[in-house]
Amino acid sequence: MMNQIIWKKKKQYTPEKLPTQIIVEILSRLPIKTLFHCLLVCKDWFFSISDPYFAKLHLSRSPISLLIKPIYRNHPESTQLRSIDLQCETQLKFSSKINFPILEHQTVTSCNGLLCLSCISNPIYVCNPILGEYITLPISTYDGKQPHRTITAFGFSPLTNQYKVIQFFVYRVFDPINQAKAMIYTIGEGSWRDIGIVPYYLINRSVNSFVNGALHWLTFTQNSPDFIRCFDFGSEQFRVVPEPPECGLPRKNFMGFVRVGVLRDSLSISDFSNPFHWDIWIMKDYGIKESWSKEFVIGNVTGMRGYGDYYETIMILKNGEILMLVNKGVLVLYSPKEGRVEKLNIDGININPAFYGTAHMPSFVSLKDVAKGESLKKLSR
Amino acid sequence: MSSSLEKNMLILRSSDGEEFIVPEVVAVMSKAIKNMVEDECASNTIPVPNVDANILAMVIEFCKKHDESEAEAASDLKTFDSEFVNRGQEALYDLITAANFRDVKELLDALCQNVAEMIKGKSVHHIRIQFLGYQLFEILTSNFIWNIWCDRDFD
Repeated sequence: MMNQIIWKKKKQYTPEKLPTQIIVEILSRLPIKTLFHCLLVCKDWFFSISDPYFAKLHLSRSPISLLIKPIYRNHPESTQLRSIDLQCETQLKFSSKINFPILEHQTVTSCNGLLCLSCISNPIYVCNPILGEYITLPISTYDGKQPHRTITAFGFSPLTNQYKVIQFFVYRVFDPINQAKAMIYTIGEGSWRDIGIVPYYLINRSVNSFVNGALHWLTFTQNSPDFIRCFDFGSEQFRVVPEPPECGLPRKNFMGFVRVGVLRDSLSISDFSNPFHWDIWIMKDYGIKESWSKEFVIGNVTGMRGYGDYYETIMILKNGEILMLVNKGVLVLYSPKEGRVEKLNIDGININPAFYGTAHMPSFVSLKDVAKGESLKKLSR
Repeated sequence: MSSSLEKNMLILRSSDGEEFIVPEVVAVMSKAIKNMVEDECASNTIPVPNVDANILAMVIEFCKKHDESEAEAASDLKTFDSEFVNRGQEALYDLITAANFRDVKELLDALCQNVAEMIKGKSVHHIRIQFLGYQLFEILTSNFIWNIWCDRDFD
């Protein structure tokens, strides 16, 4: 019976005529969960999906997911990461020893679907949790001295197609003048490179501030006119990005309420410092001060929580709603049309009252292509 | 160019011989036709082989709508797109082939998105039946080892 139906279909449709290029076009629009099924459909699809070109295409089309890590260490789920696709509210769970080697109290940073797990005592791992591949970076020590603090950032240089890890070493001595030393590790090169004393170092991490090949952060130093700083992973230079017109030096007192982020693939500044209205700025042409435009003014919102809550904007959904993270634990959706804020309930999130969030795009970017020459390990499933 | 034809109009002839008079701005949404027009190798009638009248009419409808509604709200166009691509599988594949062959990017994007929506969330078995049904025999024989490998749990 089944065979009859199938053979009838053969006469009706002619999908075998579709060229591989079209199949790739179609598959690149699918979410990761369905792609796992597609991998198993036939050999042609498997090889299409395993291709580095597919990984790149898929990445360019996939929406931002939010990767969350519980803050409490003794929680049963503290060694698990969840990646939530906010457009269709599906989630992927990543566990220790299945998706990545070990997860304790490391900081997790993400770029193009690859995760960098780092902390002061363990070695740094770079992994793709989807493919279960990882590499271990050699331990870096600057001058052999124990630094006061280390901060690690992970990024990608689109021009050279290289992934890099930068580690800042902050020593107590340098604190009054705000200086740090840094080392860079290019994935695939196999050793750390010393770049000496750096003009700026990363202080506060935002959920998603990697755009145009550079990682952005804000500085709160009172007298410095530099407000938005960034590290360009391509040129390995530190730069200052011009700030929106109303966010300059006179308003530095309120900087604790201002966030840097990426909205609609552009650098954005969300100003939550005014108790009556919030402003969201988007820099339409990267690096050009005049292109800052005030895209949203959010005022008189019903359902808005009290003043002093820690808000971060994550992304603008397809329907125009703005997704925000409140106090690192609650996801809310703001609808500009209806002018109200609604709490977003996603299965399993309420179990963990507090989490770190970072933007993450699950991808098929393989360390086999990225980290040529490194000793790649694969976790058995 | 023939005198009966208004300026900036082109005639497209489908594989089964039917002719369509189309404004040039609409026709050049197909990159393949655009190249022909720019290279001035197109006479007043442009043959469109591999595409029958039925499918060609649909492609022209799509291009006309996209040309007219440039100033219109993007949401209207989106609704039109989603209704336009909502067709049976057979017409869908013919349209994809036509859009790919004639290089109409907007149409190809809308169609691929539609097929992706059809696959989204489906099981391996379902996708095989729906999209590669004709390969069942092959899957049962030469892909036997492949299937065993595939039984691994990915979720």
